[in-house]
Amino acid sequence: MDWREEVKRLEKALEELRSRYPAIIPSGELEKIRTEFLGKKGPIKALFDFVKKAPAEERRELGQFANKIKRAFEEWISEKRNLLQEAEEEIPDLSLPAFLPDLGRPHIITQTIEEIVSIFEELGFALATGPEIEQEFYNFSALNIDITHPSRDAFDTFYLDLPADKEKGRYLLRSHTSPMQVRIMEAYEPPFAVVVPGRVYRPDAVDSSHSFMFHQIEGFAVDRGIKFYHLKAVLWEFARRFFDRSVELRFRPHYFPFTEPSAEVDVSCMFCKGKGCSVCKGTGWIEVLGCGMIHPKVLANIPSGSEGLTGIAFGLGVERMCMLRYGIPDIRLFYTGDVRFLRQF
Amino acid sequence: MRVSLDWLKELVDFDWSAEELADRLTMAGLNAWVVPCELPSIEVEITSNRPDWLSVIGIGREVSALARSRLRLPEVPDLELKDGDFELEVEEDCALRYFGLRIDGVEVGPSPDWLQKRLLCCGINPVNNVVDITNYVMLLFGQPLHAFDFDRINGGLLRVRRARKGEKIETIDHKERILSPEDIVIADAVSPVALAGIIGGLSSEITPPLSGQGRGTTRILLESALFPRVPIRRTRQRLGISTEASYRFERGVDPVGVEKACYLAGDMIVRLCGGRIVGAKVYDRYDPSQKRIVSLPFSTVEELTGVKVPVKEQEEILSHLGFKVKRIGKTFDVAVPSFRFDVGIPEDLVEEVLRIYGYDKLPSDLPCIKANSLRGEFSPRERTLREIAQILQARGYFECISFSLISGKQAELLFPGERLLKVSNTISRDYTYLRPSALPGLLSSLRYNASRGVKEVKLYEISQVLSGDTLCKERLELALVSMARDMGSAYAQVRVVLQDLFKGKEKFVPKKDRRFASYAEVLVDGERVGDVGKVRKRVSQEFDLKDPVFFLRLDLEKVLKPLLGSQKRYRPLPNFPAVERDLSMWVDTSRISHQDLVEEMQRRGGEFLKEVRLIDVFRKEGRYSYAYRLRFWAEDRTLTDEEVNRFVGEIMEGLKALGVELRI
Repeated sequence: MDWREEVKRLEKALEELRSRYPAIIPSGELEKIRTEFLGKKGPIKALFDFVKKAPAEERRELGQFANKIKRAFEEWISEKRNLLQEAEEEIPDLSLPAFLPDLGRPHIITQTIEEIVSIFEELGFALATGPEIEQEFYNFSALNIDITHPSRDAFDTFYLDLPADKEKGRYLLRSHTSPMQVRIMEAYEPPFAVVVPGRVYRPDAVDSSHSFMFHQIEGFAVDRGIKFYHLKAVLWEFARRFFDRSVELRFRPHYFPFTEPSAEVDVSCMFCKGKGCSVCKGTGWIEVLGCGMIHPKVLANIPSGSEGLTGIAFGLGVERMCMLRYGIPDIRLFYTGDVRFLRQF
Repeated sequence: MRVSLDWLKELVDFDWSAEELADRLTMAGLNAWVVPCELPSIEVEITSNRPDWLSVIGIGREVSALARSRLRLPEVPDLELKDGDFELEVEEDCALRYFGLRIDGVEVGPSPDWLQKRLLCCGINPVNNVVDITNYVMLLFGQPLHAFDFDRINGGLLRVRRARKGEKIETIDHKERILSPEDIVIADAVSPVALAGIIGGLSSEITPPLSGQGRGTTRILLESALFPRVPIRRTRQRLGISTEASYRFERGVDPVGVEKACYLAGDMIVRLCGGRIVGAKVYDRYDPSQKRIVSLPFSTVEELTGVKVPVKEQEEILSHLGFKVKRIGKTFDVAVPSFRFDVGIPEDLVEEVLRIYGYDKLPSDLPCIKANSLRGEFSPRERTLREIAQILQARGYFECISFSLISGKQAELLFPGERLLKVSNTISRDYTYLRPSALPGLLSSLRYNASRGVKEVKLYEISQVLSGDTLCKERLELALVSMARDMGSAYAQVRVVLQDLFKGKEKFVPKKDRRFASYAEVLVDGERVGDVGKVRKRVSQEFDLKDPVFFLRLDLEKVLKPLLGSQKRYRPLPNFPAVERDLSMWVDTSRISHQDLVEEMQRRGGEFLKEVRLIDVFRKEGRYSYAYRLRFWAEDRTLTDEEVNRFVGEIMEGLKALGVELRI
C-alpha cells in the first residue's frame, strides 16, 4: 500500500463529501458515510492497521498523517451531527397553519348585547332578564298601551293558545322588553337603574330587514330628581362608546304610550360624518333608538307609590345596531347558523 | 298626509322653504319631508296619538306654534237649517254626532281647476265636484264626509245602526262585503247604503249625468258625523279595508269639527255645484261643556327636563297650539282643546312646550346613579353563563341563534306526545309552536351548513324554552350539536363538554328512545340535569343530514347553581408523594360501563384513593380493554407499598365480583 497515495485519496474523498453536502445531511446517510470511512472495515481502520505494521522510522510520520485524516473525518461528521441536532429544534415551516380545531365564537348578537350591557353597567345600570312569555297586562296595559287604540298596531303581537288569565289577560310572546319595567317595579324598591336584553317577537313577515323574532335592550332608571336631560347624557355616552367618540346625538320628539315626554334618537352618521351617504339616506343622521321619561301611569306600578319619583327609559334594537356597525346587509344572516358568517366575528 | 305650502300659507304666515319647513316639523315631532309635486309640498307622517295632524288646519297649527304666528281659521258660514224632509234614526252608541244635510238641484260635474290641483297635491284623485268638495273639506278639517245620492235612499230614511248577521253591501270599490253585528252601517229603509266611517255603498254613489246609468245625481244627502273609534277599527281590520275616513275615525276626530265641516261643505256645494239646501236632520250627543283642564306649574318644565323655558314663552307655545291658557298664581290653568285626545296630565304639556321650544336645547349631564337595588342580582348567574359559553367556544362550538317557533312537523318529529304551546295568530306554518328545546333549530342550522359543504360542525344555543312542567313557564336551556364523519369523534366532542363542566361528577342513565340512539339522561349530584344522545337516522334524514349527529341538552336552571363560583371549595394539594398503580381489564360493555367501574374502585379504594383516571382504551376481537391509573396519597405522610397494595387488592376483588377480567 502506498500510504501517501491512500492519504491523498482520503483527503480528496473528504473534499468531495464537503462539496457534495454543503448543508445538512439526513442522519441515516451521515451514519452510512461514517461507517464507510470510519467503520471497522473502513479505509481509516485499514490505514491504522497499516501504521501498526509499518517500519518504526516511518511509523511516527505515518501515524501523524493517519490521525490527522481521521480527525478531519470525525470533525466533519460531528459538525454535521451538530447541524442535525440544531435542526431538530427548528420547525421547518413556521407559517404552516395548525391542524387543530378552531375556537368557536359567541354569536355576534350576543357579543353586541354583552358590549352594550357592559357600557351601561359602567354607567351604573344593573343587568336583569325576564320571561318571553308575557301577559297583556305587562306587555300593554301596565305600560299605558290601550289595546283598542291604533298605537297598538305598532306592537302587533303573537298570542298564545292558552286560556286568558282573569287579572293579567291573554298570554302572548312579548313584543318588546318594556314589560320588564313593570316586573322590576313590582319586585324591587326604587331607586334602580336596569338594562334588560332579550328576544322579542312581532308577527312580521321575514325579509331582509324584518324578522318575527329579534333582540331588544331596554334600559330604565327610577329615582328622585331624574330628568329628561339625563337621558341625553346617558345615551350620548353610550353612542360615543359604542359607535365612535365623535358621534353627535339628536333628540326628535316622538310618541310612545309609556313615556312622556318621548323622543326618537338619531346619531350623526359615523360612515360619512354627517355629510350624507347611502347608510343615512343622505340625511347625515341615523335613527337608533326611542326613549323618554317614564309615563306617570307606568310609574304607578310601583307598589309603594311613585310620589316624588321620576324615571327615564330607552329601548334599542340589537340587530339594527349590529347591522349598522358591521355593515351586515340582511337580518336573516343572524338566524341561519351559517358558520361562515358566525366565524367572521 | 300631504299638503302644499300655498294651502298652509292661507292659514298661517311663514317664510320657510319646503325643506326648511319639513326640517322644523320633523324636529318638533311631526316627521315631514318634501315631495315632488307641481306646487311645493310636504308629506307628513303622523304619530298615532295625533290624529289632529291629519288635517291642513292641524299642520297649520303646528306651523303657527313654530313660527309664533297666529293661525287664521277658515270662515265657516252659519247655515240656517230647516227640517230636512227625511228621516234619521241613530241607534245607541253608533254615533256621537250625525249631521245630515239635504241639497237638491245639484249639477254633478268636474270641479274647478284650483280644487283639482289642491287635491292632486295632497295625493287624492279628483272624482267629481261633490266628492271632491267632501275630500277637500276632509283634508282641511280632518273630518271625513260622505255624500249619498238621495234618490237612491229607499223610503227617505237613514238609519245608523249595527249590521244584521249576514247582511251584505256592495261598496264603491265594487266588492261585496258580508257584515256582522259588530259593524256600524248607514242603512235606508231596505238595506245598508254605507259602512259607517269607512266606505260608501255602490248603490247610493254620486254619479254624473250620462254615465250610462241613466240620470245622474241631482239630490244629495251630505253626511258629517262622528263614529266611535273601536267598532270602526274592528270592522276595518276584519274586512281588510283602509280608507282616508277609517284612518281618521279610528284615531279620533274632533267632535267640534263635525258641524263646521258640514256647513263649509254644504256652502261650497251650493256655490260650486248649484242647488239649494233643503234642510237638515241632526243627532247630537256631544256635550261641549265637558272640558279637560290641566294645571301646569311654571316650574314643572324645568323640574322634569332640566331646561328653563321662560314663562311667557311657555304660555305662547301652548296658546299657539290651541290650548286656552290662564295664569293662576305660579301655575297655568290649561284648557285642552277638543281635538287633543292625547293631553291629560302635566307631563303631556311639558312635552308640548319642550318640543316646540326645541329638544336641541336639552343640556347633557350624566345622572349620578348612587343606589341601585338591583345591582348584583343577576350578575353571578350571568357570569357563570358566560363561563359555560367560553368553555364551549374553547371546544370549537359556535353559538347559534335560531327561531324560537317551530313547525308542526318538527314538533311531531322531535317532541311527539308532548303538550306544546301554539301561537294562535301565526304568520307561517313553519313557525307555529313554541319550542321546548332548541334542538330543531340547531338541526336546521346543521342542514344549512351541510348544504353549503360544511360537514364538521359544532353549534350551541342558550335560549329560553318552554318548560315541560307548566305550560306558560320558561326555562333556560343549553343545547348543542356535533356533526362529524364518524360517530366516535362526533360523540367525543359532546362528551368532553360534560367533562369540562362537571369534572367527572356526570352520571349517565341509559334510556331507550325512538328519536335518539345512544341515549341517556345526565345526572349530576343525583339530579337529572339534561340528556345526551345521537339523533336517529330516521330523524336526521328529515333534516337532510347524512353524517352522525350527537346532541346534549342541559337545563341551565339546574346546572347553574352547582357551577356558581360561590359553590366551589378548595381541596388540599398533596404534600407527600402519591403512589400510582395501573389496572387494565377486559370489559363487557353490554353489561358494565366506565362509570360503574369507577364507582366500584372509589367505593373500595379507601380514603387515600384520591384519583381514578382512565388512561387507555382499546378494542380487540370485539372486547374492550380499559386501563386506569389510581393515585393514592395521604395528607400527613408517604403511604407504604403494603398499605396501597391492600387497597388495590380490595379494588381487584370488587372488580372481579363485577365480572371484570383483570389483565395485569
